[in-house]
Amino acid sequence: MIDIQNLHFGYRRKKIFTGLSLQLQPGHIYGLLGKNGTGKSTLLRNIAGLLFPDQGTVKVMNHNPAQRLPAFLQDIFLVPEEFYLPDMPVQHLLKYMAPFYPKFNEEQFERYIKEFDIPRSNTLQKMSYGQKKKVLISFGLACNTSVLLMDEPTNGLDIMSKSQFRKVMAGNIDDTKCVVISTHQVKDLENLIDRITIIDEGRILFDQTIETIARKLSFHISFDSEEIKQAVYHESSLRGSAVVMPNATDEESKIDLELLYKAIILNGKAVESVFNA
Amino acid sequence: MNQVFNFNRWLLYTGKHWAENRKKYLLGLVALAALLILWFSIVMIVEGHRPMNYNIQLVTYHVGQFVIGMLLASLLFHDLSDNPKGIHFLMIPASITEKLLTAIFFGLILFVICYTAVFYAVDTLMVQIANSLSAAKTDIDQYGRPYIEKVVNIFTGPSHLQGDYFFGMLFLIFLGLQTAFMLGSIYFTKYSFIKTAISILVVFLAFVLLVGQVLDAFMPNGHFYNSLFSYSVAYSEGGGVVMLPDWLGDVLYFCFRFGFPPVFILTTWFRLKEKEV
Repeated sequence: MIDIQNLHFGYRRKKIFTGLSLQLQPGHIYGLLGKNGTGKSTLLRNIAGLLFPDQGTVKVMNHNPAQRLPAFLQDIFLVPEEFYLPDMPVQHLLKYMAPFYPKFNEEQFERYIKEFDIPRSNTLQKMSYGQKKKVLISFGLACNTSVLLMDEPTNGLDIMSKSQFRKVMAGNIDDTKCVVISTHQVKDLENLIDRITIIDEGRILFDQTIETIARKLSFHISFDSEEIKQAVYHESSLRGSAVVMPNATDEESKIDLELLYKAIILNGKAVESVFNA
Repeated sequence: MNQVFNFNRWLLYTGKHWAENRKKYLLGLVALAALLILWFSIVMIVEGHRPMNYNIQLVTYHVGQFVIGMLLASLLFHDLSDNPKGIHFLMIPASITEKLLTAIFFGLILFVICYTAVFYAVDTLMVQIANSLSAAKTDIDQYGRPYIEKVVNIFTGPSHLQGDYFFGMLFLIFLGLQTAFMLGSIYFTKYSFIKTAISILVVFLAFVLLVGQVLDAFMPNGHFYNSLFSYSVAYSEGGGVVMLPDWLGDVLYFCFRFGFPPVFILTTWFRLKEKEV
């Protein structure tokens, strides 16, 4: 569905990607993780056709995104980190924006609005940032586009809204859709994504499914100093040491995304060796 | 569905543009009416003798049309200088042609119609007020009658300036400038009105310099005669008039009169197509 080959991209003074290749398939929610300024948003914008590659190709649903054809645009939706919504009531958003998206489902939209507890009486400009973001997320989901890109979607959402977001997202995915969520708040994506892609300095540092990660790594609290020494990554906490270990016994543990992320960033080679073994 | 232009999709996009901007446009028209009333009132206070004469009305119409039109045109693609608004604009599933045509429809066609309507509404009112004031005062003509001003017909120019030809030329210059400022609103992300005005001035001065200095250096002693298509050679150099063939002169003249708006519109289309945010 999304095929990126040898992507080179840079801003005037800074190279972001130097030969990045990535394939994303429908039926998955991808978590795009990485430090600030590593190119997560830039990658999403290349996929959306808002930025054009210097070299290499980006194909989305067999379209060249840079052409920005209506047939492509009506099957992709981007929830940007900094977004704009026109000053109109929510009802007008349905009236004037929804007809552009052939698969838009009004019933679905109403359900999400209710789920997010968004007041219908206000115009969009009178809503808080979080409320506006929830309207945009609801609208994007109700468009039922084949590709849904979300850049830091949980930024500005309160704790309740974050859990509502996870619930709404989990109920939205099907075999025809590909959702890419870029974030540095890895905790917000727990139990939601089924593949993790970590970008660092313009290259793919890590790209594995949740299933593979659970099979290869084990996450738990340890008090055993020997085990802590052998850990791929560990960090002390009040409850003991949280460790990331190679999963030698095929035990099932809950993946701690934050810990995994730190392990990859700080001890990438050790993690890589576990996956290559 | 046609990916370059589809009438229904264009109507949808136009409807969306109107829904988003109608408050701004309607307030703009009210402000325009208020400005015209204020201007004519000042003229009536300052100019005791025939304040609403033909020339005042005609100059007010055209100067207002040029200044306000160019200001509006320089804002047509202002959204692209703001990332969130730019993303919203580019991600709407309509083609570049449809988006450009909508801008032309509102910024050129509808503007001229609305501006003219508001001007006539205010002008008619102010002419009546001026006439009643003139009757009340002793502002009389040579036959002892109070001056009765008529509402100006802006579609014909002053008779000493070849009437319709004057109006036509002025309108073509307006279209050329309007489309130039529309293009400037994409080129310059900040202060586009000022920067476009300076650019036009620089191009105009370069043209004057080219004709006055550079071309002059290649020509025999003499001067351009009537137009740039005929050249009068001085007697000292043999005398006579050198003329370009009529058809070439006609083509160049045609291009000069009608060529600028289509060239600027086409350039705007390409700039929109390659715009990245």
